[in-house]
Amino acid sequence: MEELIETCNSIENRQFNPFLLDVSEALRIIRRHAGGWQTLQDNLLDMRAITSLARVVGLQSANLRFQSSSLFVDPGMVKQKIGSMSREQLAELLLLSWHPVVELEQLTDASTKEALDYWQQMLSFFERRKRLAAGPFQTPGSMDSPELTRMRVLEEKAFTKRLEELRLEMKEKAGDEKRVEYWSFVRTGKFAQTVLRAQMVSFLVSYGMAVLDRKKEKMFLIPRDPPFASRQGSPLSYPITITQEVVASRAK
Amino acid sequence: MKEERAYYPERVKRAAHLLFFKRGRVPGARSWELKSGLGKEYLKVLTQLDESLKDLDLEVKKVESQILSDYKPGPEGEEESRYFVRLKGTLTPREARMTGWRIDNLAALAACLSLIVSKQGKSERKELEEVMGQKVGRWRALTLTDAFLRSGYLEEDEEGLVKLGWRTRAELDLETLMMLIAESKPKGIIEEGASEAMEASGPEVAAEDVEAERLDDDQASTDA
Repeated sequence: MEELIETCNSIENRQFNPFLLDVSEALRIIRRHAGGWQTLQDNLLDMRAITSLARVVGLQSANLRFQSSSLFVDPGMVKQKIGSMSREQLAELLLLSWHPVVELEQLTDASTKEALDYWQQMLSFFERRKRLAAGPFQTPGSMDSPELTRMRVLEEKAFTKRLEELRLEMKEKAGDEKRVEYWSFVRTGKFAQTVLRAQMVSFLVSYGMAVLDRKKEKMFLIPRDPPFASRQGSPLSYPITITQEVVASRAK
Repeated sequence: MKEERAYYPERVKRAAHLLFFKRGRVPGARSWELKSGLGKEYLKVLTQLDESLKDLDLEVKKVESQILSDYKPGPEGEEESRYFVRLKGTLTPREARMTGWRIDNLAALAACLSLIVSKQGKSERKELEEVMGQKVGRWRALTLTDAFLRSGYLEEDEEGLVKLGWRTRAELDLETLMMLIAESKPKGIIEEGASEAMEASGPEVAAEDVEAERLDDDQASTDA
């Protein structure tokens, strides 16, 4: 009897097809034991068995109704179909039968109250930090400009000021010729410094503070005098390779 | 007649506000809310709103009370339904990206819903996760099941069985889905058919298909 009840429960939990249970055979088993019931427990077991069986019959009836509806497809076949289809195919099938609900979300009294409660009940930063076991807390300190400059957080001089200084230096080196050879101006003893000067020169040319004149193999820089206008800047880009080998070869 | 014309637009606007703006966990409005907000003739107002929304490819959808998990009888104990505004037509795969659902999610949802429907509306969670796992991997199947439960596509009953949620009833045309699943052919067969169709329809159509496929691939690849 217990086994019968268990089987009925499994069917109810969709583990088995309801038609797997032979109802007349189940009834026959219940009837066979009916004469031997003596205690209340026995009768309760009998009642449980009959109720379970009735639920299975209900499921069989629902199954038949479902099979006659347009929604019926055998679960085994559905699994097989799902297995044989690609994700894209499955997604497309869903899209063909999907009509998403349109909804607009906005602040409501309830959600605002919930947010306010959350904020008010939230522990302080220091309390929450304790839970993370992050060790002793270091109080924020202060730092002066020279220190920040040393750490390269701040520039010693403003960028435009450095550009202007470089232009004046270029003008000085150009002298009466009014032009200076590119590599002789850019190159320094240190490679990093050379790259930095080349970068600054590219800004001078882009901003119209100098002109890059190419003559065959050589390149010349011509400093300009203010006022500078952005339209005077070079509209063209000219890539210049700067590697240690290039710098060394230009020095010869 | 003239009075009626001036009378309805205000109510139609109010109905739109009630249906569009989400006030609680579930969007839309209950029938008694609409009745108290729009009056006894609220069904006529909803019909009018439905007519106005047609041009925007939207429609008013009624979902019956017995299939809503948040069902409560109205203040006067009357039967209650919930009304939603939803897309009348369907989305293309490209448009579907706007909803925030990825191809994987849509595929898993299709697999999940079709299996539950085939099992008469209830299935074991483990079985669903196994079927979804074949498509999107085991771990993803676990998280997606939770996501579908949270968003209302699925619901879990007291016995731990998973059934269709309110959102599925509101958004999915299950008969169409089941018909499409039943009629579907495995990818190889579709590709053979598609190549024949491609030859017949010319290079433009073929190019569009390739583009759509690439889009899908992109979307799937972002999954990792």
